Amino acid sequence: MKKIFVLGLMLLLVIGIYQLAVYDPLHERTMAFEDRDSQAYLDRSVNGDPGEVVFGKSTNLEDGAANTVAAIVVDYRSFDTLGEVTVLFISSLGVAFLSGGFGKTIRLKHKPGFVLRYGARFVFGIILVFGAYMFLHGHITPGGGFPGGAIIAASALVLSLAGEISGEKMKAFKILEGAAGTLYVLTGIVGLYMAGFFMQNVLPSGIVGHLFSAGIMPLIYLLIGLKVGSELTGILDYFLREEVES
Amino acid sequence: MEFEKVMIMVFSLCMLAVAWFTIEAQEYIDNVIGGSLLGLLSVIGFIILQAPDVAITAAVIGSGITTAMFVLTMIKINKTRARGGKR
Repeated sequence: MKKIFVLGLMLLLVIGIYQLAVYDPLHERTMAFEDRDSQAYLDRSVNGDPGEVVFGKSTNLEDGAANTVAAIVVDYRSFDTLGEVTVLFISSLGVAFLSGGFGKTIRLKHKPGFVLRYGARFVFGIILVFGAYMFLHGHITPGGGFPGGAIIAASALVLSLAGEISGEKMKAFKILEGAAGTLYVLTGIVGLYMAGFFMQNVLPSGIVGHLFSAGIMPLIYLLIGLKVGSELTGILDYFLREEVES
Repeated sequence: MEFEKVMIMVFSLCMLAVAWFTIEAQEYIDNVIGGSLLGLLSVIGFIILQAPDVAITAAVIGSGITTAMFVLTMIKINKTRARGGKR
């Protein structure tokens, strides 16, 4: 029975590869540079030709983000980003299961001295604000939700190395993570309801390069930044705990 | 040769040397620090290749959070070994 199952799976694989080899989705296109999909993303001309895109002047493009990477990740391919966020959530869940739940915070060998304690407090605010800047300006400058969230987690790590953060404060992070993830999916459903496609950009796109532009992209990057930041902080917190001896 | 090409070659050789050190070091903490240093050098590589988005992510994740996770795990392992427990 098992052999027949394996043979069937292999047959399915062979048929799939054969279909891919016969059906060429790019058969009407040449490999010339202007004819590629990536060039269409760069020119913002997937749904029609808007002409030349000028930074700070062009209005009402199909995607109003100045950062092309963010435009592809959050607007054209937003569903992939939802999958990435789900992968991170599942990995966080796995760490939570394997690390033994809530124990007491690990005791490090060093005792945080004056310079470490107050230096960490001082640096924490600067790093936190930089992370917030990174995901709020993700559609204009390099950066975005994932690096911004990781920077926020790094700031929380600095604070916990100085012994300033305790376990009770972590519950707020967990609530924030769940709320941000749910709101991200709800934003996609709003696009499905209003425009007919999941994750469709329903707000007006504004002028390229302004802070309030690109429709729902700043909103989505805000949600992703909050979610990734609280999630990575939670993972680091699980690493910082040790199991209670019973 | 141009100055930039020479600098890129020197930088690549640095990366190779650090990678060799990371593989061949005997202590676990040396492996972890070598990996962190390699992540930090790869940030410069990404900037040379004009990918600032990836460079920021590599700087934060590759040389910051991953190193912290490894070091914390090693602290835990040393503690349980010192206690003589199985886990």
